[in-house]
Amino acid sequence: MIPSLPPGVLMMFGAILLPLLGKKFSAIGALVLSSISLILFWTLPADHVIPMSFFGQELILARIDKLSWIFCLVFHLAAIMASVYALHVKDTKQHVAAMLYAGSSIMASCAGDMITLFVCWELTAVSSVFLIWASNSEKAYRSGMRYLIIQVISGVLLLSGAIIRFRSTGDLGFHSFIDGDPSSFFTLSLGSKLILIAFGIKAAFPLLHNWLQDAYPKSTPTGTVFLSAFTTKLAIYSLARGFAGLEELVWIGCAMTLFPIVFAVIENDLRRVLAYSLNNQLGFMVVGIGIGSDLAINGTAAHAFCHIIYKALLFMSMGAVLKQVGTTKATELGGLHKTMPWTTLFCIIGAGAISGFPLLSGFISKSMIISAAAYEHRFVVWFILLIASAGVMEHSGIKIPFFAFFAHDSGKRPKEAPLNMLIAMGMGAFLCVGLGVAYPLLYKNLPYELHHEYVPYTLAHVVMQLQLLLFAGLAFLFLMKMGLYPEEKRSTNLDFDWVYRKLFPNAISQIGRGIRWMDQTLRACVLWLLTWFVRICEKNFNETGNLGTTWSTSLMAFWAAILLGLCLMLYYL
Amino acid sequence: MDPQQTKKEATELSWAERNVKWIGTGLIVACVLTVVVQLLCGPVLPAMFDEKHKAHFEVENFPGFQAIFGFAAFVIIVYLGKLLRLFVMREENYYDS
Repeated sequence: MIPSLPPGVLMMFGAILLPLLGKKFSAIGALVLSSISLILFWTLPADHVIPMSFFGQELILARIDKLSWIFCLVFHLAAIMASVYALHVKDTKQHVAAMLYAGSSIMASCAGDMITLFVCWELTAVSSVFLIWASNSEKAYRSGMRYLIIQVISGVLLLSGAIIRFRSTGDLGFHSFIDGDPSSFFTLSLGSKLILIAFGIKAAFPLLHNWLQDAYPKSTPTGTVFLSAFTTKLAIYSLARGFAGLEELVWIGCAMTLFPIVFAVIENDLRRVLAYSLNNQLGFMVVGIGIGSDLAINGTAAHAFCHIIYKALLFMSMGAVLKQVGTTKATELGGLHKTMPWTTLFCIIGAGAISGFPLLSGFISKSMIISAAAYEHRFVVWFILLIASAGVMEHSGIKIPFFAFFAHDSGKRPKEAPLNMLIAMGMGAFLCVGLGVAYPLLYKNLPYELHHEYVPYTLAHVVMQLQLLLFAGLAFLFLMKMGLYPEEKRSTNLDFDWVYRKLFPNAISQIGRGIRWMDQTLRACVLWLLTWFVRICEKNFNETGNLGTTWSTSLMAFWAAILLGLCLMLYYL
Repeated sequence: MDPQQTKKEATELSWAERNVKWIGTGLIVACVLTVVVQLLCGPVLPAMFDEKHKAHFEVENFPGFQAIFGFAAFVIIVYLGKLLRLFVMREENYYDS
C-alpha cells in the first residue's frame, strides 16, 4: 500500500528512475515527485509509526509525531519550491541528486531508530555532494571533497555512538540521549557524546562549521537552494529530538549567533554571506534547544520552518543573480534593481523576513526563542540574541539586497530571472508574508501545547522590534553617509578551514622536512664515524702503520726477555 | 540594439535613485515615530502596551532601549568586522597559490 510508505521513500526511489525521463522532462519529474510525496505525507494519520523487522531487530522506518511532522512538512515545501526553481536545469544528474537528497532528509526526519537515521544521514551526505560538484570547477570539486569527508565523519561518529549505546543499553531508539541529571555534556555517556558531536558537525557548531561556508557558495545556483534547506535543519531536528535541554547547547548556540555576523560584514561573496547568516540563524535554534522549555522547542521548530523558507528565498535571489550576471561578488554587483525588479522585490521580502520585521515570518518565530530566554530569566542569553538580531539586520537585512541590487551602479544590465525562478521566489515570498500574518496556522502545529498562548503581535513587541531594526538601519545610513562603512574588497577571509586547508598541510610538510633533515643528519654522522674508523684502521694496519710494519727479530727477542723477566719477578713476589 | 538607447538606459535613474533622499528621510521619520509611540503609548495606554508583554528585565523599561541598542550594536558589529579584517584578510586567490 503506497500511503504506508515512509515519507521521502517515494522521492528516493523516484530519483533513480528520473534519468529515464531524459534531459527535457527530468526537472518536471522531480517537481511531480516532490508534490506527490507531499500529498502522500499529508494523508498519513497523526502519530503514525511504520515498523520493520530487519535481521531480528525491530526498526522504526517512520514515526510521525508533532516534532517530526512539522520538519517533514517544511522539507516537502522546500523540495517543491526548489524543484520549481530548478525547472530550467537540463542536467539530469542534479535532479537525481536533489531528489535523493531531499527524500533521504525527509526520511531521516521521520526515522524512529538510529540505524534508519544513520543510513539516511549518510545518504544525504553522498547525494548532496553531487550538487556541489555539479558546478564543474576545480574549486567546487575540492570543496565538495572536503564537504564529503566531513559529512562522512559525522556519519561514522553517529554510527559509533549508536553502537556504543546499543552495547550498553540495548536500545536503538532515536529519542532523548540525555542520560544524566543535571543535563550536561559531562554527564552524557560516551555513546551520547559521540552522537552529539555527529549532530554538531551537521548543525555547524563553532569550529565544526566551516564545511558550510566552504561548500554552499560553490554549488550551482539551484543546488545551493536545496543544500540550504536540508542538512543543517535535519541536524537541528535531531538535536531537538535527542538533546533538548542540554545546558551547553545554550552557549554553543550563543557563540553561533555571534561570530558569523562579524565574518559576514567583511565577506565579499554574497552567497558566502548567506552561508554565514545561515550559521547565525542555526545559532538561534540551538539556543532554543538548549533552553529546552516547551516554548523554546516550539520556537526552534517554528524558526526552522520559517528559516528554511526565507533562507531558500534569499539563496534563490542570489542564485538568480549568479545565473544572470555570472557572479555574486559584491564588488562586481550593484544597480541590478533596474533590470531585475522582481528578484529585487523578492530578495527584500526575504531580507525583511530574516531580519524579523513585523508581518513577515522571522518576526513570529525568532521572537519565540528570544522570549523563551526572557521567560527563563536568562539575561545574558537574551542580550546576546538581541545583538545577533541587530547583526542579522546588518548582513542579511541590508547588505545582501543593498550591495546586489542598489549601492553603486555596476553598469550591468542583466535580464530578469527566468519565469520558473520568479515563480519559485514568489512562492517563497508568499510564504514569508503568509507565515508572518497567518501565524496561528503554524503555531497550532508546533510540537507542544502551551499553557499560555504565545502572542507575537503586541504593541510593545512590534514597537520594540521596529526600534531595534530601524535604528540599526539608521546606523547603516549614518555610516554610509560618513563614509565609515567598510567598502567591499575582493579578498579571501580566513576562517577555521584555514586550519585544515593550510595549517595542517603546511605542518605535515614541515614535519616531513624535519624527518628528512634528521634522517640525512644521522646518515651523515654515521658515515663520518665509519669513515673515521676506516681511516684509523688504515693508518695503523698499512705497511707503514704501527701494527702493519714488520718488526726485527732482535726487538722481539728483547721484549720476550723482558716479559719473561717480569713473569719471573711476579712468581717470586 | 540602438547604442543611443543603451546609453540612455544606462544613465537613466530609477525610482529608487531619484528618491534616495526621501527614502532616507522616511527612515528617520519612522525611527522617530517608534520612539514617540513608545513614549506616548506607555503612559497613555499602559494596558495596551503592557498587556501580554511583561518586561522581564529592568533595562527593557528604559524608553528607547532597543533603539539605542540597535544603533550601537550595528556600529560595533561593523567596527568589529573592520578589526577582523586586519587578522583574516588575504588576497583573493590565497588558497589557490
